Amino acid sequence: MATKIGVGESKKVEAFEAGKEAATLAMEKAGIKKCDFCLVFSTVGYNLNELIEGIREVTKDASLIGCSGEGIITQSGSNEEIYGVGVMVFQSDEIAFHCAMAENLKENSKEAGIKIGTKLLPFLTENPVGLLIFADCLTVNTNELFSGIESQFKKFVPFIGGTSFDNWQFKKTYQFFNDKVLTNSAVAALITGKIKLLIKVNHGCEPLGIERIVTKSQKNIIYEIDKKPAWEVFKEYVGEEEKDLSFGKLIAHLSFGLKVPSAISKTYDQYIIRTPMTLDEKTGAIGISAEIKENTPIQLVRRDEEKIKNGAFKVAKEIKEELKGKEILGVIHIDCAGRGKAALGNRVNEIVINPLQETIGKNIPWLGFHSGGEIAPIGNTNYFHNYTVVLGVLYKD
Amino acid sequence: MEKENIEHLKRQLEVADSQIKRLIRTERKLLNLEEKMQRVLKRYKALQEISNFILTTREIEKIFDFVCEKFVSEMEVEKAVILLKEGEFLGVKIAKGYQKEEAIKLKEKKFSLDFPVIKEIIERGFIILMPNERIDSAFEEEFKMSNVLGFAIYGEKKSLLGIFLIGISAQKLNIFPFLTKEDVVVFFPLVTQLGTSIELFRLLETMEEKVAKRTEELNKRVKELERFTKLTVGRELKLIELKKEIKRLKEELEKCKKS
Repeated sequence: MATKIGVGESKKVEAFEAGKEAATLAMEKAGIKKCDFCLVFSTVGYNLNELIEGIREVTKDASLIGCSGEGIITQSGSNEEIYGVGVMVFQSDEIAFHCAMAENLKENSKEAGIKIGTKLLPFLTENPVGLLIFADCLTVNTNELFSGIESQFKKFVPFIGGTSFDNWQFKKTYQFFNDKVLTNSAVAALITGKIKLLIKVNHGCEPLGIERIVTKSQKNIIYEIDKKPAWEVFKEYVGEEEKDLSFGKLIAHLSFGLKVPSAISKTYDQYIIRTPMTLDEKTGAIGISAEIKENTPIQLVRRDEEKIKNGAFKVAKEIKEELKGKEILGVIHIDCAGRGKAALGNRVNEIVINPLQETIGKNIPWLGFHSGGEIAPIGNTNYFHNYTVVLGVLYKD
Repeated sequence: MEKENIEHLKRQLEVADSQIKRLIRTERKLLNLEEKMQRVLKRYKALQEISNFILTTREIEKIFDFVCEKFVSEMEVEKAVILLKEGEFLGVKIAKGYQKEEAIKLKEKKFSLDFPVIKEIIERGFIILMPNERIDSAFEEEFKMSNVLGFAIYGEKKSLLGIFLIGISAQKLNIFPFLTKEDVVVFFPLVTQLGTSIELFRLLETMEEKVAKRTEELNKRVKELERFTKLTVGRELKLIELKKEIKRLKEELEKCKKS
């Protein structure tokens, strides 16, 4: 019984060649000629159809899911350039990956969730490893997506993943499913079998100013806070020259925080982070990737370098201690784009990536991306997060 | 009393909140400034590497390849093209950031000096075309650029050597940051260095040609001299032998006379 995992990366500019190189390196690292499943993260400079063609030239008909991100993360660190692709290949007789996808998130995220849940239900085992899931950050309502999937599963399955992103343009993000490059979609892989998955979550934000109340909202759109247009409240903290959300990577600095139930706050943090993703300049309404009900207390938060650094180290130490004596097979790493170079400049590796990799292990296959949002459970509830790091460690007992 | 205290606390809270807002605004300004600085520093670092490469490389094609590769991979530019003047036309020497077939087709083409946009670059020395400006469709179709920064590459006495084009296609305008007037200043020294390199390589090529021609001529002369030497030395030796023969015959004749 064996599970072989390998990761390859390419920074080549030519899309097909980059895909082929990353996949070839991944297969070489895993020491395999054929793989069962393939996870792909890429930045948005490429012609993504050609990139996937290049990958599948090597991985052939193996199931493939993944998405675009602001950067990719491997053992060589974080690459937030316009050209970068990372591929993780799996060959195993211990675990299986069952894949599904659904389009039209903007129109109906719940329906998309139900579609994914229905497709995966026949493969659901008593103790599934978890569900890898990636969705479009600009169109998803994660509450609806999650409840759609969970309505079919009817039991707790840990979700780990994130929302796709571009390079801070907030224009179009992509999801990969086998040979297809999608947008406005969600892709997922249910992992079943004997391997285990440890998931850790941590954010690096501190509350700012006084608590406020969402006075008008609908689904994932905040229209008013304290009876003022949501953007007006945000603007109190920014200069007049910052006209929209992407200017100066505003949201890499400021976000919203929602209080979590007290049972969770003891082990996690007081707040769960919600980053503004869309702005209606006419009404000042701000869209986030999860639902928010009227009369919800809301707090502005700012990212804090010290908290990011300490948080990353804390998570790494916890993993190391909890998995003492166990064989770590690979790490899936989803880290907010707002914790990348937009916030930390050229110190991303020094502050976030290196402490994690040096503590958990420098030789472990490791693939991640800088996302628009992160998905991971806290306790036995799946949550959508922003400005957060999520680590999924695959291990053997 | 309690009411007064509450009012006092409220005022203090408002003051603290407004101070926080001011601090955050300042922090934002610093962060924006840091981001701009890092972008500029990154570009200068890449330019420094290009400059060093130019100084230490002896093949002009390798230099062109390195320059364009650096632009598309590290300087957030989608496409980079170098055209060189060949008589009354400009030929594409290298094109990066294009699909394979596009690059091959582009390299097969020759552009006249009055081709749209190229003509303006030659006249003005450089051009910056923003995406909202009207770009000649023939140029856009050939080079697939909607945001263009173009430089004329000059040699000695402002003689045109070629054109250096960088740009972003209409489809990728939402991915790459726009090229602006500020970039003209940043990239200008590189274009000057490129011009000097092209001239140096051409000079070197001419020198090498001259040296080869002169060497060939000298070799010819040496061969002629060798043949001449061979001939003259051969004749000299023959004369010596003949003289010896005459001397011997004379001695024999003397002997005969005596006897």
